[in-house]
Amino acid sequence: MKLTVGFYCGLARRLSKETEAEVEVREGATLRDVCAALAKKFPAFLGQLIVPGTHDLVEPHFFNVNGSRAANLDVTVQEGDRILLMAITAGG
Amino acid sequence: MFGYMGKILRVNLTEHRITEERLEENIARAFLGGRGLGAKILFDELAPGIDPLSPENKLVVAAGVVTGIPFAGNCRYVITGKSPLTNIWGETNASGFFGPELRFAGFDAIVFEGKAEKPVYLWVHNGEAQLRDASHLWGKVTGETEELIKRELQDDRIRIASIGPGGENLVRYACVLSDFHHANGRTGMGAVMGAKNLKAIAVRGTLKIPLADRDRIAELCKQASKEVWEGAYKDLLHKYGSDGDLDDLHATGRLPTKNFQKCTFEQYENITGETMAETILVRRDPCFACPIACNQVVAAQEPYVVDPAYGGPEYESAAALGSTCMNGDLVAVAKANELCNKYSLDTISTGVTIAFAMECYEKGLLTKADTDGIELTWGNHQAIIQLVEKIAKREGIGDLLAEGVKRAAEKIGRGAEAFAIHIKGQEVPMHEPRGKKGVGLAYATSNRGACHLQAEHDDFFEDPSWLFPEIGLDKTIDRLDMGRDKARMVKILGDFKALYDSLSVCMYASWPEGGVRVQTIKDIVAAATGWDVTLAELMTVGERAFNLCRAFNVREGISRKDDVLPARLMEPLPEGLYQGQAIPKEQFEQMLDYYYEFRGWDKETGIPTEEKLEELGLGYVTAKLKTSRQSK
Repeated sequence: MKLTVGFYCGLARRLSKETEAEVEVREGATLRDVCAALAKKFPAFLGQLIVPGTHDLVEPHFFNVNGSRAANLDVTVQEGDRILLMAITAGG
Repeated sequence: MFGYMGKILRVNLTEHRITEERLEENIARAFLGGRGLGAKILFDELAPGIDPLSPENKLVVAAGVVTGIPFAGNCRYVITGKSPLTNIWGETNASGFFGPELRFAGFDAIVFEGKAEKPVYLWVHNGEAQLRDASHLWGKVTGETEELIKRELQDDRIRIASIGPGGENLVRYACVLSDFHHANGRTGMGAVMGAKNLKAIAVRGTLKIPLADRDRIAELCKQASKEVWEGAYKDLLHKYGSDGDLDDLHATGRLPTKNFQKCTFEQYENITGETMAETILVRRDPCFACPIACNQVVAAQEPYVVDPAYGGPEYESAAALGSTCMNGDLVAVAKANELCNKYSLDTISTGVTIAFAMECYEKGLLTKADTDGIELTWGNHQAIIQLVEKIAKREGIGDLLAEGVKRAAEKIGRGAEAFAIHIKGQEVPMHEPRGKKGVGLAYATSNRGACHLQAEHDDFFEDPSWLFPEIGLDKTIDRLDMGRDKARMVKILGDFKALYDSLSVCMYASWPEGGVRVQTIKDIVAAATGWDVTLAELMTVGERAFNLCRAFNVREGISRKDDVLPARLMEPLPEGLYQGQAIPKEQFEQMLDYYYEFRGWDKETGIPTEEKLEELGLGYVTAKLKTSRQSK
């Protein structure tokens, strides 16, 4: 299935030069699969934004799915979900 | 008493008299230092209703219990007084090296009162203090002032907090600078120094802070040094400073732009921390005992010469002097920042005031006849630079803008008030509350007027890993939520930040933004003082300080009617990820009801109840508030 991931953090936009990206993942995919697909599409993400091997997100980045923060990367997603890649933005 | 130098210096400028007072242990334990100690001294000693720029005002310069103990983030000190910008509680803290040096010079705090007949500076050295003539320094910018004092006293290691022409000319948002670029930025404490003819405070010392358990402190400092490397923002802060956040705020549509009319900025990439690192950055400076080194130092030649001695813009300065004025020229932002540091002007208030003037110009409320011929169009960076100069010197239109947006709007009239983005008289900082609603409540209820540092921001507390049940932060809450739990969160975080400002520690080194754990800080306080402090006791110190500052404001006439947001910040966001998000009045008032309930304040008036004050050991405050109300 095809999913669109919106880049709502500066790092993803800077590394990809895009504000969103379409990725193809299997049915029943998790957010970790989305990370792997993103890393494949944008190798520059590896290391800075996505941990090589585990495909974890580097702190303080996270996904927001359909308006709520995803608890972890094992959350499954489906076609039509609104997926946003974000960072916790601090004050000061 | 351990953990403290145990002495407060009292400097009567009118009588040119310096005395020493003992810091009593019960006061030290109840208030810790910094904000709390300042609140105790000023609430007790200042009469309500005084003019902040009169000799009746006092200025308290206070370090905290951990200031100068060598672990990351321990360097801060706080200046408090009645604010000439807001006419209520004024408070501003800074990092760097001045705070630790004040303690090594022998004192936990200095209280200034009265007004010197002619310009003076205070020289504090290893337990001794003297007032010295500063006539030859008057009119000098901050950096030159520091260099001249060091030369005069023949010691390069002296740390100096001073004012430039902005403070001397009583710009209502003048700040205090140390080491050329560490700013006690907000609420106009530089103007209070100027009004007292106090040009600078110079400190130098080699005294040791008495510590109850020196070995344990050594262990804990090592532990804190390990923890600081685990902070989620350590690398970001080191590489890009706080301006590393600017692109995220643009991406999420939360970057104040065009005087808060917009929340994304087309030219944002020009002014990010990343661009700064790739273009004009020359080095990164640390503060005392901190390995993060987040101070970005910049230099440039074209189109403006920018002197690296004055540091470089952090996020608030980059957004206030950049996107808020639609200025996408990074060197111009850096130049305006340098001038603010030279002249001792708060970059946030300066930027927001210039943006206000630009909007007035756009809407025809100010014309070239008013602006001394300056084309005050959005993004005109030559105009921004000219205005910073004029504000500091109170020249032409600068005299009007030196008053801050609230007073300037009242003078301009004809609806200009709608463009004056302030709370309780202080210009709103660079965080968009419609995209993180807790910040809106914190803005409205902050004791020093609009302030982004009164509560950690909402984003963290959507994530279970950032919860902290030991202080009551026990459930995740969405950033856009405006319910009862959000009000409770803002109350807890308000007490927590009041604790940090009393200790006084840096938010970039300590939880949640930094890696140093609160438990470790608590253990350091215990090992330094020998007190068996608990986290609950420390949180009560924060709550006590918060309530005492509120009581100070109540005595000045503040009540529920003043806990508001500017109308513009309640309207739907016009664009971006959170387009359409608003802070509807009814929901805001409901959130305020909840907040007062958690605070133990009267819902009708917003005044701390007798029971709450009694619970915090501030029973005597109730009587003082009653007397004050009766005399009105």
